[in-house]
Amino acid sequence: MSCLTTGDVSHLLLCKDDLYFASSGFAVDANATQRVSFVASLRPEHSPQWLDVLHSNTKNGDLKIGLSRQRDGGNIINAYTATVASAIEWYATGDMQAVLAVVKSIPFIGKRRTSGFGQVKQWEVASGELDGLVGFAVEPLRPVPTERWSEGGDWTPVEAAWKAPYWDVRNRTCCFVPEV
Amino acid sequence: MNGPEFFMRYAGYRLLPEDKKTDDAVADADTLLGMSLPMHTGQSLRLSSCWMVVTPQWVATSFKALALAGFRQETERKTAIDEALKPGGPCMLLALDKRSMTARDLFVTYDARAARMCSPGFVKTYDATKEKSWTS
Repeated sequence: MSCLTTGDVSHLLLCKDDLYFASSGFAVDANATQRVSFVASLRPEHSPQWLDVLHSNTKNGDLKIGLSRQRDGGNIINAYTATVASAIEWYATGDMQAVLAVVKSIPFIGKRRTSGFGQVKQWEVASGELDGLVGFAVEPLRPVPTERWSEGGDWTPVEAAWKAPYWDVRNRTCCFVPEV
Repeated sequence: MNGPEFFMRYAGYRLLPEDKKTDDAVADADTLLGMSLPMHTGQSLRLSSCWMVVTPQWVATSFKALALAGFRQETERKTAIDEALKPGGPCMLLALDKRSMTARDLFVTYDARAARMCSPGFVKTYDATKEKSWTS
């Protein structure tokens, strides 16, 4: 399990009842996408924390393997879509300069930042009119639970995670989400 | 309400044995989707290789569940999907293959313009109102 050790700016952003005033990332001048797949090798002997995940994928729940057969954990393939863009923009309400101080040394961002994707050339912050929740067209800039959306509009509700950790199923609910 | 809560409330808890139930719908969904279930044929099988449409009012499936579950099993898949989406209420569309489904694969469809077909490890989102059958 990865742990965020650099770039946590959550304490610098406005947050009300667990809802951060911080938008999703929007690609600027996105001109191409690419499918990229990675294989994760899950070895029970080396990665005991994955035992619960592997257990449901075994025929009899049997994970008794010897040291000489450590490959029995198997490989799991994960596919991603890489987007080619000149920049990514976020909108938020918070301490602008303090956020910049935290993120300016981050060289890579994104899910596959440790695999060479998401390299950052430069960080910039600028004042703006958007609060991180509502866009110029009164559209949602991030997943917002429908019962907390007071702006109106004919937006399509979908089930989405609206607060961190976003991978946790328990944090998903009916939300209005941006089109990214 | 998230996907596992919706699924367990309207379908899953009719299938999950009492001694397996906890207060956590996510954990219960993972338990249910990973265990063998008795069918009306007398055999038992994991919830796989079938389709299921779950609404708060009814559940239709091709899974040969026990009659006491109260699932509709004679409905055609396309008919069930249309019947679930057209009223506009929440529903869940499942297309299960032989791989194990997990709780994180379960998503509620709240609007036919963003219908979510849930499969193991993959969720397809499509606009059902643009289907040919929608206006016919």
